Amino acid sequence: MHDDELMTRIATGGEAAFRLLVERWERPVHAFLWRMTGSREDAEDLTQDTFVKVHAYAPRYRPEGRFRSWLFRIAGNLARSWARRRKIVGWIRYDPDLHEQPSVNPGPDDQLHADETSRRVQAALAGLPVRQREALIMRKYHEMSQRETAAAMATTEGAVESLLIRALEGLRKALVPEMGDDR
Amino acid sequence: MKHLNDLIPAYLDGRLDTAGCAAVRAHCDQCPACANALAESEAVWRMLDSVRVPEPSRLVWAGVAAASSDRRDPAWRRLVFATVSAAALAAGVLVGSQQYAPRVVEASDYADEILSGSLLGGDSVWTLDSALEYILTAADESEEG
Repeated sequence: MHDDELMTRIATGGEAAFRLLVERWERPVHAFLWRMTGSREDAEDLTQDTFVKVHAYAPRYRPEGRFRSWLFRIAGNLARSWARRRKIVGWIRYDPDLHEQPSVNPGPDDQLHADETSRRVQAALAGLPVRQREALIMRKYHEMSQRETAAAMATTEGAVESLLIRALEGLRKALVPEMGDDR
Repeated sequence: MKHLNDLIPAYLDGRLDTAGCAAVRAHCDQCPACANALAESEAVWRMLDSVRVPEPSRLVWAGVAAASSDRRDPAWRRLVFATVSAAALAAGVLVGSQQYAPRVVEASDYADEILSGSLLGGDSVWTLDSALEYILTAADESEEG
C-alpha cells in the first residue's frame, strides 16, 4: 500500500495503517537521526517523536506523492531543535568519548581500521554546521534527489547545492590530514 | 582558468551527464589544484560509506503507540476536556486578575536563580533545561504550523 494511502487512513484513525507506516520507515528515520546526532538514545527518542508528530499531523497531510520529503522534514526539524538545545546548553562541542559508536568487536586489523575510520568520519560529520550535515546525509545516505532534499529542508535546490559544496569542503579540511592509507 | 569546486558534489553523486563528467576530467588533466581537490573529495566520499549505523535497541512502535494514544480518544471526549479546561482557565484568570495587581519584573531580579540554574514561579520549578525545552517546542510547533 502506498504511503499516501496509509496517511489517508491514519488521518481517519487507522491504527493498522499507522503501525505499517512506522514499521516501513522507522529504520531510515532512525539512521538519519543517528547520523545527525551521533547518539543512539537521542536518535531513538527523536525517531519516536517523529512518528508521534506524523500521527498528529496526518489530518493536515496532502497526499501528493511526497511523503518521504514530508517525513524527513519533520525528522530534520526535530534534529535541528536537538542541535540548538545542545548548543544552548553548551554541549555542542564534539567529544569523541561522549559520541557513541557502534560496538566494536575485537577482530582482524582491517576491522579495527574500519571502526577507526567510521569513528573519524562520524566525528567530522558531527563537526559540520547542522544544515550542511542534514543536506549531505539526505543526499549521500538516503539517496534523496536534489528536489526532495530541498523540499525536506524547506529551501531551494540551489541552496542545497551550496550546502553540499560547503559540507564537502568542511569534510575535506577535517579528514584529509588524517586520511593516510584511505586515500 | 575557472575552477570546478562547485561541480564536485554533482560529479560525485552522479548528477553530471557523460559530457559533464568528461569536461570535469579534462579540466583536471590541465589543473593540478582541481585534480587534487577532486581526488580528496572522492576519498572523502568513499570514507562516508564507512559510517555504520547501529540497530535501534528498542522497538519504535510501542513508544509511538503509547505516546499517540490520547489522539485516539473519541472526539466528544476531547471536546469535553477542552471545554472544561478552557472554562477552568478562564475562571482562574478572572480570579487571579482580581487578587493580584500586575508587577513589572526585571531579569536582574532573578539573577541568583538564573545563575543557580533554576527559576521558581509559584509552585512550579523551571530548570534551565525545562524552560529551553518549552521555548524550543513552542518555536517548532509554530514553525511546523
